[in-house]
Amino acid sequence: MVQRYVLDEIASDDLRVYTVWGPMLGDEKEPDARRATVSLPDPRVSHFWTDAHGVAEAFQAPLALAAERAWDTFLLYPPGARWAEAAPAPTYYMHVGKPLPKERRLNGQKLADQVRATLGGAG
Amino acid sequence: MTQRLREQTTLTPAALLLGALLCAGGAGAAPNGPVAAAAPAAGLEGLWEGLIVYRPAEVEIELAVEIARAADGRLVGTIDIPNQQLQFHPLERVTLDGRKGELAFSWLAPHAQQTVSITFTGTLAGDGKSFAGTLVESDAPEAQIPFTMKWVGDPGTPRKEPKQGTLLPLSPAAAELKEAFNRDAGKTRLVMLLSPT
Repeated sequence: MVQRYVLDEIASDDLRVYTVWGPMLGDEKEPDARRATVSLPDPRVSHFWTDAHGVAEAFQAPLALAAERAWDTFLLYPPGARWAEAAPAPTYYMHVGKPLPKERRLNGQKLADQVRATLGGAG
Repeated sequence: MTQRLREQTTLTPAALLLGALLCAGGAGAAPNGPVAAAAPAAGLEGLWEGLIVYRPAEVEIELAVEIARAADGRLVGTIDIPNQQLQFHPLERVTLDGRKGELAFSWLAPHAQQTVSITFTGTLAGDGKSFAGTLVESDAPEAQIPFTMKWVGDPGTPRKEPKQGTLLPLSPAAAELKEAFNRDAGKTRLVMLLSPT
């Protein structure tokens, strides 16, 4: 969805994507992540693998997720945002299956619109 | 269906053999490089690329189907669903009656511990360049999921080569992610936390 709607449609080099592949379901392994990288072949994407939940727990608070780790979330940041001590709060986010607003369920078109708006604002 | 297609599968030797047969020229492929094909022959033969749309812009799955005519005249083929690592998976049935076509395959959904049959029923466009309709999964026959496919070449046309990206290990404190995030502070950034399966 992100490849087709965001990366294929938005050519800007002022966009970077960081994908953290991890054990959201519990039994994922590094080879699974290696194979999954093919779904996001864009050179603006960096792929990370973790076998722990630390990063997903770090983003719970910025998303106001009280009891669930932040797996299956998409967090957008404008130029200038920095990661200091705690994980930064996004200016926009989407999710899959989280106890978060339904209107923020992942939609490639809506996410692309937000990315364009953020890029435009940077200009 | 969505959950089924999110499952992983493994390639059977039969699938690999059929894929090798189709791609190596056993079904009419050119021995060297892409086949020059300006227009499709009448029928379903060829390489097709398409999309299954569960919810527009929310859940969409890419696929590729390759169909050729076997020596005995039957239509045979394989299906790829890249995000499920399903590749050269054999189609069990390929039929075309007039412009009405049907493709079917089965696979073992590991997490579901059952074999699921998936049937695509569609209409071939008059110019032979598109095939569209709905698919049904055996354990959820009430759900009709739209799909579209576009003809991209003759049988044997090279399929998209999946390119694996570089995978960087992330320490428990996510220092590598933090470093990249701050290094690119002048850019718009999207962080995604995902399962690879």
